[in-house]
Amino acid sequence: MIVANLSNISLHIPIYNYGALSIKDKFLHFFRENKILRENKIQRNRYIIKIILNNINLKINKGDRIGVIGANGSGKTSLLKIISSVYFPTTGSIILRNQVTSILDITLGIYGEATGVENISLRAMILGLDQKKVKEKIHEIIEISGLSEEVINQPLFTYSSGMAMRLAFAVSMILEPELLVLDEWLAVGDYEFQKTVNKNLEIFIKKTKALIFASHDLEQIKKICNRVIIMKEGLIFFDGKPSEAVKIYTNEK
Amino acid sequence: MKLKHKDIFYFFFQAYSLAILDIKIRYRRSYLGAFWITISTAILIATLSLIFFIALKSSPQNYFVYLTVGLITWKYIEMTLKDYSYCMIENQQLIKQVSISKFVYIIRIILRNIIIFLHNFIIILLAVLIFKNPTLLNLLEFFLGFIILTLNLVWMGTLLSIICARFRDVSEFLFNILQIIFYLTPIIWTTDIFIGNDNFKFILDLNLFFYLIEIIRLPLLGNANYNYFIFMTLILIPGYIFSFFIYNKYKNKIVFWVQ
Repeated sequence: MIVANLSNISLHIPIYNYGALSIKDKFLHFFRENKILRENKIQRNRYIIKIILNNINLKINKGDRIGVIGANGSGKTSLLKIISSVYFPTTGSIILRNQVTSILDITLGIYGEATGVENISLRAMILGLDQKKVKEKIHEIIEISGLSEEVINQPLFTYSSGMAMRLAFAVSMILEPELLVLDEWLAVGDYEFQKTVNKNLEIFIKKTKALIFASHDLEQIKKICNRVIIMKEGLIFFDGKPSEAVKIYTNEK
Repeated sequence: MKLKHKDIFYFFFQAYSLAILDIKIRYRRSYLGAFWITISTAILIATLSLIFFIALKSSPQNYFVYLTVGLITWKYIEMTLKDYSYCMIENQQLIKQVSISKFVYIIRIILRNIIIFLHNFIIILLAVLIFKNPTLLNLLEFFLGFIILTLNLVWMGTLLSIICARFRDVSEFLFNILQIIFYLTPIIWTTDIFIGNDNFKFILDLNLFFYLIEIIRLPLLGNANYNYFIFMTLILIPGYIFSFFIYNKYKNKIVFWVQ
């Protein structure tokens, strides 16, 4: 069963310079410079179009655990953002058969002034969770985060960054996603955070129908995934078994 | 994905949670909390009414109510539009990470400002109950006016938030315009100054904000003008059609503008 189908996806992102973000410039340009520029056939570059993804075809099947590897700037995160409907493809089409839950940034929806408990419900709300469920599972969340009852009622700015991440991670763990999208954040954080991740991630992934996640940690990829994509300059360079992919990727480097 | 009925409730729930968060965060560290809004507005009105009562020589009770309602309504309009000019930039972190409908951010801002207005509404209520004898009909007209005003602010805000995400200097421009509109609209001064001077009456006739304030202020002064109600309701139709056309056209591009 196909969970998601991406066909001929291209993504072009406009990158604006300061002038292009100003309406004053636009007017002045129109009245003053336009004629001269047009006469001399000069085109001022107000923004450049950067081609991020180029003709991507990808079928995600049920049971797939896809790892995405590639150099920085090869389009990993953009691909994940397209699957999460944060970016919309310039050309091509994407069909999502299931509910997508994406955790691209682990600290998203964490507000320093709000308390730990408030942050739990805020982050859950942003991730699209039912508030009833959050209330039911709040003890479980606190347990996974490993924070004490006293700490959980304090505002987040009193937390260390590791504590805040553990809390954010714990909230994500009660999701029951059909297609789960994870970005590189798994490898960040301190030792305590890594311990929490290692303990809970496997159980969490088992709940999902399909997983796609980007990482630079090849060991983790080998451990979790059953299919690996290598991205290179906006293209899918390789799509196949993890052991092969890692071999190709490390030789390539 | 198609919109489900339940999702629309979830939109409002998300927007409401975020709006409440905004208020909580802003006033958490102060003892009186959000009632600082009420107090600061009350002090401003007391000072202004003292000065302008002397200057304008109109009947003090009438003028006090006039100023209170006008100023608080104007503050509501001004703050909402200013907030909308930063709407997408304020929410860029969320826009870049999750696929929440942009509509949530638009509703977040209006809800936040409605909550602030409700804090100030205490002053309006006190002023009206002490100096006027409002009938139930007056209060109903006031609430109707408030709803029409709010609906108008939402379509204006939708447009504004999209334009200001694309062109960053529009917000600066808007602040200047709003300041000028404040002086051009009868909020501190009254429409009496046009008696016997019809040449300049176009200042009122062309001013959309004058009607927006009047649909709230006149009911509480006891003489609602239904023409204004009808006019501002009719404005909603082209307003919403145009702003949703723009919204639909550009909503997927906003994420690139706020990078």
